[in-house]
Amino acid sequence: MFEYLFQALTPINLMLAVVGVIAGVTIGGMPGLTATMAVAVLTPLTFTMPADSALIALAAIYMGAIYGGCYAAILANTPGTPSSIATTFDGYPMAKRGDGQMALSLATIASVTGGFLSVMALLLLAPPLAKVALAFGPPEYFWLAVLGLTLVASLSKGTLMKGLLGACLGLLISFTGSAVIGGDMRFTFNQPALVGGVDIIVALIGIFCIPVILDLVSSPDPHLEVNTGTKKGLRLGEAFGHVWREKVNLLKSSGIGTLVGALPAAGGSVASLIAYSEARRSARNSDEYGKGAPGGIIASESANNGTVGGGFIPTLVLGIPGTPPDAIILGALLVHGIRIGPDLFTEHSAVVYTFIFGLAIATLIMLPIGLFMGRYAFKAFVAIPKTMLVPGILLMTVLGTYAIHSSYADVVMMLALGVIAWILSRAGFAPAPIVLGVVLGAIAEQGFVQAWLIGSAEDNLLGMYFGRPISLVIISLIVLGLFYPLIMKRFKKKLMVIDNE
Amino acid sequence: MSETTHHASGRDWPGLAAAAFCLGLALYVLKLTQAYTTFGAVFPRTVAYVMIIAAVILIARVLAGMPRTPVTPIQSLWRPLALVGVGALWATLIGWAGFFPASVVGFICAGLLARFEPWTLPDLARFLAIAVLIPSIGYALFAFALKVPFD
Repeated sequence: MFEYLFQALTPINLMLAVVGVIAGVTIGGMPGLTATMAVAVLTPLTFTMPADSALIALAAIYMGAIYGGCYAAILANTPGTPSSIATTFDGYPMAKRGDGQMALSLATIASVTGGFLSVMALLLLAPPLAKVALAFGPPEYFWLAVLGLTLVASLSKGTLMKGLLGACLGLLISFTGSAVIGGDMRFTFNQPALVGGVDIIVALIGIFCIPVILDLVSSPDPHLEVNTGTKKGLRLGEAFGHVWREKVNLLKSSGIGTLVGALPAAGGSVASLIAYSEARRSARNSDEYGKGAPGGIIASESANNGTVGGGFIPTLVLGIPGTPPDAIILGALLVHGIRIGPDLFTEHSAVVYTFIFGLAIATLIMLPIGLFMGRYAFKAFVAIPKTMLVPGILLMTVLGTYAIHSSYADVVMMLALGVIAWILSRAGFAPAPIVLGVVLGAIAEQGFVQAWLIGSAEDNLLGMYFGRPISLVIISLIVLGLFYPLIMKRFKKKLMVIDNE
Repeated sequence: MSETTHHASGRDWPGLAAAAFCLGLALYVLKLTQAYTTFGAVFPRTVAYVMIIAAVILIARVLAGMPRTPVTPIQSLWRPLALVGVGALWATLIGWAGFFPASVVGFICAGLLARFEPWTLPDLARFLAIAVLIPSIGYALFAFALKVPFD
């Protein structure tokens, strides 16, 4: 095994890992440019390389891009990639109150840890985890989406009813276009641009970014607070202290990321939302979540980078890509003449193990690179005057939205959703529940309808939803998530009464 | 942005207006989904019913005296409204004049709106130069490096 580690450490592979991470972070940091786009655009450059080097470069780009999404999420409240949605919940409030650099440090440490643990899972636990991934069927996806939707309660600022209404609006947006089963054209209003539905990234950019830009021009106040004295700089020691205190959260979120990454079509956004939900449920300071709690950033970032290693598990073991970038990397493997399947780990062990070690090294390299880039990204972001910042962000949103499908209609849709989200934000509606609905709506509907069809065909409808072991685990988590705060409240009240007596 | 927020002042009339909008939307969704198949309608209808219940509860709570949710105060309302206009102009110009000219015009208009201090001539000249440079870099990056087709 060590020869593969040394092969991964050759100067050329190390250089590719460094360049890949930097390219990935840069692309992932731009709103609208996703990890899929980063990997897709740079894949042709790897065709002339040896297979192991090509894979290391692509995986480094992928890992870097998923991490890079946290920059825009923390500094501009706009997830650079959909995987960073949950990072905005606590990252931006931290940046607003002057702790932006520490938020970036926390995100970097969590991303590296989550990514590294997922690569270790890929190295040591790939076959059993692939079996678990295969056991996920439509009902499990449905319950997983419902579990994510329970986050509405914690993301609603002000009143739960506003959060619920926001999530419903998001769900309706996600139902736009052709129905999963039946093919109904829903809410298209005879507009060809709406037939394919509203792209998640278009909605994400509009709902998160446009209200921030509109708020920026509404006041001459500086866009971010800057701490002075001892509370400035990366505050690495403090960040490591937070990470150490949140070690259970970190490990749990990395595990959730790895497992969800292994599920085809789930992806980093679902992983980070579920990890965030679980972290908040189990946190002692759950009231601080959404207001700048370090645990929220740690959960989201470790989970989304955890999907990278997790996604490679079904890709390499079964030939089923866990995430869209995995599908592109799968294609690159085929170009290099490597056949995917159960024999991959024995027939092409040199390539596979060199790649896994290379991915682990690229993930570790991300720590110094991320801290360095984060420091300068923050300084640059703070120093840019609003006269440049507002049109600069607006330009990025327009370019990024257009680049998804080369569609002007997407730009119009993004701006329209953004203005609606801004008006709603003035009425006290937070953007996060709306986006939650947009992301999870299609997964919930597809899972529910498919499970219904299979259950009806098997004449076991109830068993299909409530009789499968993984479904039952997820349902228990949903029930626990909903009632745990109430139980704890009662428990604390009783304790106080006993104390008083 | 400032952390200061409006503190609750009076009833939550904006919340009531938003709830009324959601109620209307939910009723419209119920009307639209009558034409859909069972599987196409089941989720939108469920969501619409939840929206109706949530909207009615919210309206009732506002009428019972629920205070406004604190939000970041707006010091200048015309600027964000004008920026919405700039966004609309930008989107319109893209189809009419092409991506690059539209982006330069949009960049300049948005930059002018974001400035609260008076302009000096050197500042304005520098801003105009950057307003051409940054969209050029963005356009070149997307069109040539990322091969995004702009036609």
